[in-house]
Amino acid sequence: MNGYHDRIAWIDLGAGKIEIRPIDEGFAEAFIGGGNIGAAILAGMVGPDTDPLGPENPLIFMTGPFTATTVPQGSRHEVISLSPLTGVYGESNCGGSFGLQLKRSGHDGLVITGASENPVVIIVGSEGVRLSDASGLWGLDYYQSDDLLKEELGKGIVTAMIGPAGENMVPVACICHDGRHTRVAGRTGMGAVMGSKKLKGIAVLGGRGLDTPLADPEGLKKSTRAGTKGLQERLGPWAETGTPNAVQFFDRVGNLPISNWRGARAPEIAEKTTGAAIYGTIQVKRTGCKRCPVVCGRTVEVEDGPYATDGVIEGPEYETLALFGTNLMVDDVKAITKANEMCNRLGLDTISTGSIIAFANECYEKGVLTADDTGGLELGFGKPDVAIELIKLIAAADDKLGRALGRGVRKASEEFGGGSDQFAVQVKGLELPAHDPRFSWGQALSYATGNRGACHLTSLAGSYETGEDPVPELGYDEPHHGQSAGGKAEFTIKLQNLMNVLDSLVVCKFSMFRCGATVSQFLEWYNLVTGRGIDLDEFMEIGERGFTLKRMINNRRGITSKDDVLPPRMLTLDKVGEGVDLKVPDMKTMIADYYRRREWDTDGRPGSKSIRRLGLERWEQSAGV
Amino acid sequence: MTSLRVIWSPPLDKSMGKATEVELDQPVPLRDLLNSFREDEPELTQFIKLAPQDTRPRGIVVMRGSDMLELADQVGPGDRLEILVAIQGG
Repeated sequence: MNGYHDRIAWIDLGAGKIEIRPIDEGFAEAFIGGGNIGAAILAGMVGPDTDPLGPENPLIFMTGPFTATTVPQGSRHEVISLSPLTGVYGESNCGGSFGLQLKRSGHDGLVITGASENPVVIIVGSEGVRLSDASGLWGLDYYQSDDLLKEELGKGIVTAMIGPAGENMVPVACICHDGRHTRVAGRTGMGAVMGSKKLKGIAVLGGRGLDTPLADPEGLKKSTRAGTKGLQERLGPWAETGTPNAVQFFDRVGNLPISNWRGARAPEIAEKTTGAAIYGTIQVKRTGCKRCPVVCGRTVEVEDGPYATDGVIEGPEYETLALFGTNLMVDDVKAITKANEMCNRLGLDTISTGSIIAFANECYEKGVLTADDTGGLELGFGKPDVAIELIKLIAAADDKLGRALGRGVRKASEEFGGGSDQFAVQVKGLELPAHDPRFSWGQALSYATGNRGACHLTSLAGSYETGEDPVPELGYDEPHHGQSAGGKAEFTIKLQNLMNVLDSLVVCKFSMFRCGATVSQFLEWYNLVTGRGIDLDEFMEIGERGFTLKRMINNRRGITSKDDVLPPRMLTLDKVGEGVDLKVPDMKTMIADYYRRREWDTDGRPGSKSIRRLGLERWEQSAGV
Repeated sequence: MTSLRVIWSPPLDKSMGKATEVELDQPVPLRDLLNSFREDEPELTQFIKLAPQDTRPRGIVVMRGSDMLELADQVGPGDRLEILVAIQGG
């Protein structure tokens, strides 16, 4: 089967059994790979009452048909499971080199079930898959465990591991990859699922490995060579400072979170925490994911002082800079770098963790939390050292405050009361990333309807409301108006479907910034890799199928229209001041149009007509919806 | 007051300086103003792209106070515009 090794390793940690199973060809054609195949596997294994931290919840690592081919940026992978943070569909996309090495080992993915009694690591190579005792790693942070595993297995290995937060099953725990060049499957608490299985990590052995079977190797090589050149030309200037430079731009237009989403602007802080502030101070050199010609990352080092790092490490990206910067009113890029390093070592998602700390600060400010609750720690905005202490508390989960915060702002607000639900900024339990839905009504609609909750990558709508050359193949030749409900549902649906396709191919979504790569190219490469000859409509329908299946999983878990809502702050507080005047989005109009176009009923369930059209009947039956 | 002031954000300020004063007798469409900048400074063409059918700027955002301007919007004497390169992050 071109594009695949047709081998998924099913690993039952409870029984210690490993079995290789093929991917059904019809499955591959219907869902492509990555998140979509992961969702299809998950849908067959979980029900309404499955405990996300129970042994029956599988943890799935998936690559796609582009992985380990000449398609640029084909080194990523997806992690799929039920989320312990949200209780519904969980998925996280990660760069680095783990996906590339996993595919080169001759495996398209791993489905991990059950739970081990003692800590283990899974070791994957072209010779096979085995389990190894990890008692000596349990309790160590990610850097330490990665170092030790490399000492044992060789420097060429690539790891996916949890830190203490994952071991403690903190629902905002992430899975870290690639050692000190840390790349993270950050969102939806996949690290906690790994910890619940007593699985410290996965190591993929190095080496040249196996080539991915291709339908037209020469055609692909020729086409991807041109595509790589285009990516370098169009994204090169952006990559010089990468995502961090968005801080100042987003501050000016009103897209940046300020003081737990209360403020309108913070230009002085933005100037001190943007990409240029890193470039001139702590940046060591540019880095990138394997097989990526863009190279948008950077290593950094804080050599001395209170925020000194453990040598040269991967630097913070935009989300971390925003959520630990202006959202906490912290203007010290070295302190933010330290917070980023702490999160990576302890294994916490920086988006959720930064948001949780902002929420805790506001709780303290409003008297919902007092010094009695915090053990004397005086929470507050503009206090980086307090933020770092809270990171430790959340990861350790050994006191009441740390445990409450680690469950995310939705559950913490339920526990704290005092009206704190009014400023718990989340959707379906997932904290908002650093893209303001009052600036981008496409993001607003996508946050509300996204399958994993408030996720900017579900549609990336904000980028197509200000970007260059949006998506001509989908009928959008110029940016869509950000603060307008007209046509927004159709725009958002198309983008959500497209992003589902990209998550099934498992490519980097940033490649589409400035039209670095286009939908037409992805389609061409898919046909060259697999030998299929599908057209754009069929391609996009695969995205719709995946999105709808994930919605069906969520319906099964109790999600209805009542959950497709923005948090109160985003529905009541206009963002006004210093050249920003953004109204709360018109959700009622957009949601009604969205449901109609998705062919969902008023309760937010896909209708039988669309389920049949998409060929999802078997999941409908097993779903019991 | 007959001049319009344009503030250039990085990296546009490298070629245009921090600010430009433009003498105008009467309001003109934003498209015309941007076109005149492109003609005067060809380096801007890599950032400011204008196709005939466009209604909104691509790759840049033009702010007048809290308004994000469209290409047909009139700009004129006394206005203070900020031209920003749309930088994406995520």
